[in-house]
Amino acid sequence: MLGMIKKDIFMIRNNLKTLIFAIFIYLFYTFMFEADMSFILPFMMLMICISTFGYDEYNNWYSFASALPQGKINTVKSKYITTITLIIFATIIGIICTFIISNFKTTINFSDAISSISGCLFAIFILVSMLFPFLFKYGHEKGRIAMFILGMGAFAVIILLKKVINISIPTSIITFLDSYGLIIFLILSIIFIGISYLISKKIFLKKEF
Amino acid sequence: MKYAIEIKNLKKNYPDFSLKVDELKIPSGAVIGLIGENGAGKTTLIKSILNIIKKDDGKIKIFDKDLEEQELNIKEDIGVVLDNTFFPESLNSRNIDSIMQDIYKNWDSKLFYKYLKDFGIKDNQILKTMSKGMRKKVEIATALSHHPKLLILDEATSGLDPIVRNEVLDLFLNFIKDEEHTIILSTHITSDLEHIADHIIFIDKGTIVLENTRDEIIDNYGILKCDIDEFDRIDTNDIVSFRKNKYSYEILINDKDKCRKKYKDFVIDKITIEDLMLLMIKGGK
Repeated sequence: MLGMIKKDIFMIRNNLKTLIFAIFIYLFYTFMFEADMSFILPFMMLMICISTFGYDEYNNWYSFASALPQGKINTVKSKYITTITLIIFATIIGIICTFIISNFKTTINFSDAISSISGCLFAIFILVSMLFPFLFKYGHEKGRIAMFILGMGAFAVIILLKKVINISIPTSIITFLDSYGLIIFLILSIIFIGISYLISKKIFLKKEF
Repeated sequence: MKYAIEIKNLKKNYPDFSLKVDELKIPSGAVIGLIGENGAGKTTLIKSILNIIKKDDGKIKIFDKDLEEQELNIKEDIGVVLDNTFFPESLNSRNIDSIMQDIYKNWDSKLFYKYLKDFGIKDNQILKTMSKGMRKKVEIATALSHHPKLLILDEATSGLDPIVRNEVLDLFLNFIKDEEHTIILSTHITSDLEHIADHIIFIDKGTIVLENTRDEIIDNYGILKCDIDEFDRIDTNDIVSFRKNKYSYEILINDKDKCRKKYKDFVIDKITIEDLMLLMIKGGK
């Protein structure tokens, strides 16, 4: 499996410029407009990781990978591990940047930013868990459309809850989330990604190249 | 006899094509040439052997082990070059070495770099900047560098110039010196098979229509040539297939000695694998 992870890292390495660009945008917006842009880095990293699916298809990698020992299972495993690891890595960079900026800009509260980044990370993990089975089933192009639909769907649901139904979250839930939110997010992320991995594995093992 | 691959009742169905192999035994220590026109089923057979596609029925044993039960162990001993290039274009040979070290237990970096050196490929050159032939060479070097017992090569020599192709064929001949080693070579360049193949498997429309040693095919098959008005003198039982030209017939026969005695007035030419393919696929019966 390590070989497959290395392959993805070698491919992603070429997108390093995109990531550095994302860091600059993140720093610029946070510093100049004091805006919360914590989602940018992990989201950009997710996009970069998703692009490896496209490269794999374009280069006929999957048929060769299927001929390797444990090739199909390791392909799925490595995609999840690489993506999650790199998203966490991007998040850590984001946290470091936020910490540095919070020392210069008093309007940016570091602990609030951490909560926001954790929320973003959770949302991205949920996106990964929903998106990856689509990518394995339908490929990169159709998977991207699925991502767009998922994103728009999630956005619509939030707007609906907020504007139309006008649900207000009780303070007890907010207090509970303040105390245990991180652990709950972590546990839910693991469960979602675990289920997603099992579905992707099943899909990919059946797939022929 | 020891067999590298044993196939029984293999079936793979697609909406517009079916592969059906009742029995196929591929001996160890031989070069097997897989021939047939495009879409005949060569790649489907290769992909079934590699378990890249799921068969609908049948049993495949490789190195006397059941493919489904012991796929991991079996694949450690198989080197593969597929018809399409498959390494990501942004990689270089060093990257491939690093990746393969963690994929194959027996990966031999020294051997890999030796092959690259022999092929004249720089280890820091990215694949994107290489010609199709150079990329094929990297793939061949990769397939050989984990000391496989079985090499499966789907159109591995296509895209290579004649000089390099000869080098590669010599490499394969060197590989086959070990009696444990076997090569399955699917190719449209039939002259390559005349050069190195011990056995020929001819697939047409998803079934094996001919399987024999190269020598027996060359010795037994032949092309009997006759004028149009002489064609009726040839016993239909002696005709495998025929091709009608403007003024003559070319008749594929499978018992040259018998036909030489029977048709003393006719010319019987030696057959090439390309002629055999053409007459069997395109010839009338």
